Amino acid sequence: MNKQMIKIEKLKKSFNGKTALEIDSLNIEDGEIFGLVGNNGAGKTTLFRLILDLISPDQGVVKIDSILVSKSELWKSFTGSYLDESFLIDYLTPEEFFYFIGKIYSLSREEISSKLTSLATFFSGEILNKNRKFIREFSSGNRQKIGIASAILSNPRLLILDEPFNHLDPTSQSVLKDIIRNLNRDFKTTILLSSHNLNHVCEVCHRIVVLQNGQIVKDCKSDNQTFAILNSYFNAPLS
Amino acid sequence: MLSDIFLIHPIKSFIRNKRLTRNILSYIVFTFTLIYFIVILFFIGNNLEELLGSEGEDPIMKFNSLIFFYLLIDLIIRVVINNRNGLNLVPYLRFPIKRSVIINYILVRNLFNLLNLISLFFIIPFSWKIIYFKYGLIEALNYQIFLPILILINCYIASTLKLIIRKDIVFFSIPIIILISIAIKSVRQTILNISGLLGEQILNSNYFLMITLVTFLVVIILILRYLYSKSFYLEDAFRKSYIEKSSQTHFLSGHYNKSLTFSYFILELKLLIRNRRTLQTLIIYPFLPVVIIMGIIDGKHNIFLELMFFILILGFFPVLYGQNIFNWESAFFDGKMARESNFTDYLCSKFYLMGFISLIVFLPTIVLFIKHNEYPLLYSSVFLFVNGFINLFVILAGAFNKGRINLNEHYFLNYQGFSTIQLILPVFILIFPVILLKILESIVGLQAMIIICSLAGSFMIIFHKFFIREFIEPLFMKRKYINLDGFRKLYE
Repeated sequence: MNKQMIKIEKLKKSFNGKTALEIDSLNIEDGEIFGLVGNNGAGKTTLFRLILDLISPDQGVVKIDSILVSKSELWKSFTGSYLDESFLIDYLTPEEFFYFIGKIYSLSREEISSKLTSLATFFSGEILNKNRKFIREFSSGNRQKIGIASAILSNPRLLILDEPFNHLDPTSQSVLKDIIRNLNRDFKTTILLSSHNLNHVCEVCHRIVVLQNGQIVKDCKSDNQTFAILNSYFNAPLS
Repeated sequence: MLSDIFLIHPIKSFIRNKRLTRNILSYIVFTFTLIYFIVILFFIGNNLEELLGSEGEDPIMKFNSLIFFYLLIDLIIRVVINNRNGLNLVPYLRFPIKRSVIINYILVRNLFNLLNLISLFFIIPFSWKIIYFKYGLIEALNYQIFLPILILINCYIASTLKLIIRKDIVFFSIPIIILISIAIKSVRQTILNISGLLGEQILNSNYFLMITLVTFLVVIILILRYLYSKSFYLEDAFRKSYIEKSSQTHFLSGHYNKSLTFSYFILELKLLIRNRRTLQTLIIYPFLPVVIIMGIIDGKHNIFLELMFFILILGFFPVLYGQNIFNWESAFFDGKMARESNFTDYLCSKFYLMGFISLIVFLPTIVLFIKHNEYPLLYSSVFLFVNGFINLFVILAGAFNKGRINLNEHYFLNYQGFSTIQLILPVFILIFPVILLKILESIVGLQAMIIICSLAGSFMIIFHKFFIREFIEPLFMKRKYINLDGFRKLYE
């Protein structure tokens, strides 16, 4: 059995008296690609925020690599994440943003350049060398690409992406799936992602969890039957 | 890396500020205003002896007696307008940067708050020019060290209050200020005495007092540090004000098929009260009774100066709200223009809303005027004039706005959507009527002026729909593509 990257116990979070998330136990193994699906308000983003210690739980604990996230910040040194646009520093150019993140993770300029070069297909010529265009001036899709690139820049051991396929064109979605698979294969990166698109989740994830009203209602390994199983939770006809 | 976050990013954030980068005029106005205030404060500091000691009083004693009042006003300004954090912290929360480092940064950054710095522009010249010559070096240095310490205590108390209150208190500030003013009025002399004593003790190098002040400063910093460490989560960074908690009004559904002015009116009212920036356009109104009670009624007055104040207050909402009516967020206008609807009705609803708000403010005012026999007819005629002429003119000028304005942002110190017309219009609208009234009065006399104003205002109110349909709507339609394109730009 693989080492556990994330361990969640008796986690509960409420907003204005309404329980947004209640998970008794959830373990995510090292090197796993873990998918999270659920309707709007199911608790996906709340779970990611709790894992990243961006919000405080009402009760329960989250551990990353056996480190209690609320007590130590060591886990941040090997964790990359992108949840939404508030994670961007929108008055910087993409280059400034990437080099700043590289500096935080102690990457050399060469390493950053090399990583950005490897992402050229994903960027499709739209992000870099845009003559001092600030991040806020890019389209939603391109801002999404900048955010995702910022999360994977340091080749993190743990990568958390909230609805990464949103706003992306079909080509970029396909490239992103390859990037996720390659990161997992080459660096054994543990990846957590959420999506409303069941196809994407089934294609890239090893394990998928369905959240409904803040609770886990299905936890399954991905195989040929998974799409049909997941579909049944959302009352949608088979495509 | 830390220098990036704590030095380079704030500078870039300011230089590349989306509100300032929109046009060079904003930069010029901002720089001019800053220089203006610095020069004014420097002038005050240099001439405090003459300003305070005009009645044969000792200027230093007078200055000392005003310290508490200065601190109180300073505290109120800080609590009302200062941001909770000087830096948008959300992007940094995911990085391996210790929270304690960021908290320390916020505390240090508070030291360089603009209000702290500008106070030095009058404290330093005052100390050197007056204290040094009258008392000596030590006393002047005492002033230059301990007055800033008092201001720093104020600064950190304001930050602590902001953190504890966690509400957008801009709108509540005016009633609070009025209550504080009333409370202070009754104990004014006591405060003057205590304040004078405090200044005197600083001047006399009372080391016990100085140690107490420094200790208090340290304690308040430690309290603030503790509060920051407890509240340093995304939910706090994103914590919504009471206005933001109510859903933002995009109002694209349901009401359009009715195509009735009343429906638009209700929607506009919802837009006004459910969004932070629009709600803050109403902020001037609680001042109206205060100005009337303190300035107009039972005072020795200049009628035209008072009329200017009256028009200023009555016209403030139309100027703030009305001239921006086209450039609140883009989604509304895209939806509006893509549907078949009566644009005249829509514009009329805004005109009615402006009139409705003015009326709410005016009714209690006119009661006061009648009670005190203060030209009720004159003010009524001006009310009609403002609601007829000014409100329509404001809507007309609004058609020239092409900058997007996010509804839930702060109004104060926010130049989003502001262009040249926003800078010129308020001056023109608020001063022009007074000049016109003065000319009318000198030509035809006060009684005739009242009649002319009432008739002119009533005429415009009665025929508002005609003016809106024939002048304002065609103007907006002519500029439709320029404006709509401008409203969509997220970064403007």
